[in-house]
Amino acid sequence: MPEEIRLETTPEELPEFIQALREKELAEQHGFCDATAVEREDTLEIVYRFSLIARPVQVSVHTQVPKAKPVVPTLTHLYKGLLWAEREMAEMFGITFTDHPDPRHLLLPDDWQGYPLRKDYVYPLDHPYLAPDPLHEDPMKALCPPGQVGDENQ
Amino acid sequence: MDPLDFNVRERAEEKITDINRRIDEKLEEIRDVNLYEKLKLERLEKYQLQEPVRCMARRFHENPFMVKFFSIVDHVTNVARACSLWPMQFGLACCAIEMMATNASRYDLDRFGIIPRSTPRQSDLMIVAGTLSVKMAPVLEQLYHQMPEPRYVLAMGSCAVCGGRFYQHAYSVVKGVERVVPVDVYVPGCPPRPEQLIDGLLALHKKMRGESVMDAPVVHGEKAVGAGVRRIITPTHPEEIV
Amino acid sequence: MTEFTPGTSEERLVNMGPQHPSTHGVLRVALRLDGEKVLGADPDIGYLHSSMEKIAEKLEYRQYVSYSDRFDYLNAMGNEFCYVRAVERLLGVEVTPRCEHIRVIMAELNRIASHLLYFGAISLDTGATTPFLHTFRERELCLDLFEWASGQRLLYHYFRIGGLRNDLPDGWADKLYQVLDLLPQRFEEYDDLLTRNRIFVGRTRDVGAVSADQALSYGLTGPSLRACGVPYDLRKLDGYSIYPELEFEVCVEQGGDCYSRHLVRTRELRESVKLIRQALDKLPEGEVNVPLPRKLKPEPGEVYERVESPRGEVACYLVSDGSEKPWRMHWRGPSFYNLSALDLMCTGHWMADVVAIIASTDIVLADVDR
Repeated sequence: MPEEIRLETTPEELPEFIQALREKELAEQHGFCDATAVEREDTLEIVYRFSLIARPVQVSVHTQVPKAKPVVPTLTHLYKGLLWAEREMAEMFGITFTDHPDPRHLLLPDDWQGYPLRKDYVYPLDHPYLAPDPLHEDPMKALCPPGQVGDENQ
Repeated sequence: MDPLDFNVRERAEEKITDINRRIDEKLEEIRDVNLYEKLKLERLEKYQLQEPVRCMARRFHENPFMVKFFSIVDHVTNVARACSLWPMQFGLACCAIEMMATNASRYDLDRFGIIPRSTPRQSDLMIVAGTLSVKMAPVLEQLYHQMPEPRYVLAMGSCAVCGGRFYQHAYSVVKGVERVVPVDVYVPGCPPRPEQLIDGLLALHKKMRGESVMDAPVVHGEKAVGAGVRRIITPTHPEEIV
Repeated sequence: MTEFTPGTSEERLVNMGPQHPSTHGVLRVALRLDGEKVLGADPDIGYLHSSMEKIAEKLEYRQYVSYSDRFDYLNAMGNEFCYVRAVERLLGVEVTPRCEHIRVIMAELNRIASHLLYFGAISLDTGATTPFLHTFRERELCLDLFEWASGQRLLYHYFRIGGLRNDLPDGWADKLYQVLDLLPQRFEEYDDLLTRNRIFVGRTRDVGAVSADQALSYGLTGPSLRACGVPYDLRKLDGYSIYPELEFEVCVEQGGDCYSRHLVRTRELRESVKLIRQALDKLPEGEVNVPLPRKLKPEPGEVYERVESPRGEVACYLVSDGSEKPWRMHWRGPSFYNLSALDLMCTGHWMADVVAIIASTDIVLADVDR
């Protein structure tokens, strides 16, 4: 099983921290694995994960960002894989990555409102494509609506 | 009577729906299994004829003279269309793999005359295979309008039929392709087996055999009328045909 | 639009739309072209976004197994392997040896099926239509075996938390031995048709080259990384499940271009056959399932479980808060990072090479869009 090293830092010191890591734990040939965010009570926790190539070692760097003002410096100058990972985190959680070269929506349409992966997200059920199907919710009402021809014959 | 006047058919269908509803209510009261099955069979025999026979009956009722003239033309046209149905394969997700497998060596679709075309301009069937997301829905609509008529849509897989496994909790999956384009055949399954897809295509053949050159053309640019409601072909006057 | 003066060329934006004949799914690439030369390729994804990560927060752990194999639908057993191992690690559950062997057999058989489909897809994209029909013939044999064991051809829901749905039926192992005897000569046939074909080599050699440093920076894994000369194979590196007891070699090529990626996958086909044969020979008797409580409530914590899929490193990051539903589930899809390097791979090549490059990255859009 891989050995996991868990490190914590603050968002302001993040670029220098990662730069320092490249001399210490990540001095060998390593690859960028993954970057994601997790919602905690008052903060959003951003996790960056790297993996060494020659030995089964994983290094994960955790940063806590306040939910009221989620701003983090970008790391795309160090790892190009973060170009897309940060775009996805921005649209799903509402995190702003300063100086990101291309801050467009990645997975969602450009005019999407809200941050879907937050716990307080409200589903857009009034969209015509996403509204619940009346045939599924209440079949008898949908198939035999009141006011049909022949009701007066009852 | 004007052959393009469909009010008679609509009123007859309303009456049939009403009678069906009253039979359903009576059946619930009875709750006798054998009697229920007997009444169901009776109703089936009386009102639910095969689609081609029903269409022929309607046309004969409206215009007995033209039917004799056009029936052989209809038959040849429909057989020709059914035997060379060229789908635009709109493979979105996992069902696309089963569609590819149906096209491939074991469940060969080429023996039905079905050659997958990549462009909508040269195809007459669109097999929507897979999950339709909100970002993709306008693209689907545009491709549907780019297909020349007569065109058919086959919804393959439960995601295309009704939203499938993503109906309840997904925020970005369209709950059924019928909200975007009018669908002719639904093939449920997750993913449907190649045999099921072939069955769906043969059901489409049967539906196509009920058509006629005397029918009014479909109004250009029409859409499915909301969720859970069958598409209704509205009549046109000759000067409105575009 | 500016006026066009004959004799010059200027940058144009051409849309390789979400629906195109290449069989990889709904991917839109906005190409900036100068004539036929590609100046930049911007992949636009999200046309298959099915909000899978949000759904994981609303379902219990057991209910999500059948959703987890929809991520990379060509490698459904591998995806289930990853998710089920993650949950078992959270719960602290060890499965029986027979279950581990069967899981590895299924994962490797799925790797063979996935690479066979890749073979067919890249041959269709580069213009040869025959290998597609040939590889699907063998793929149907693998799908027959899956159907016999699990009941489904494509998306299985066979792995369960704590074991499998059912033990292997009688005669399954003999049928698998027959298929394994048949496959190597068929692989030779495919190599004759495609890998040693001058046109295919001309279309894929020196096309879409990536250096090892760039690949590691973009997060490439799997055959795309091994084709750059980096020996990163999680089956050897992590040694999860029973892989430490099995003998196989890591297929590494130099060059990082489409042809090297193709060679890596053809060699992996043969390695998978070797792996399955060893695992079948060593298959122990015994129970397949471990008894677990009705409601699974793991301790609060997080786990990142990774597995080698035919596309690269697939991983599941599960955060649990002590209740019966996960707090957060993040899926690391290998195709997501493999596709982000498309701009790097396409720039400077011809427009026709873009199709070959996309085919050689072997992406599955459901992994990219989740």
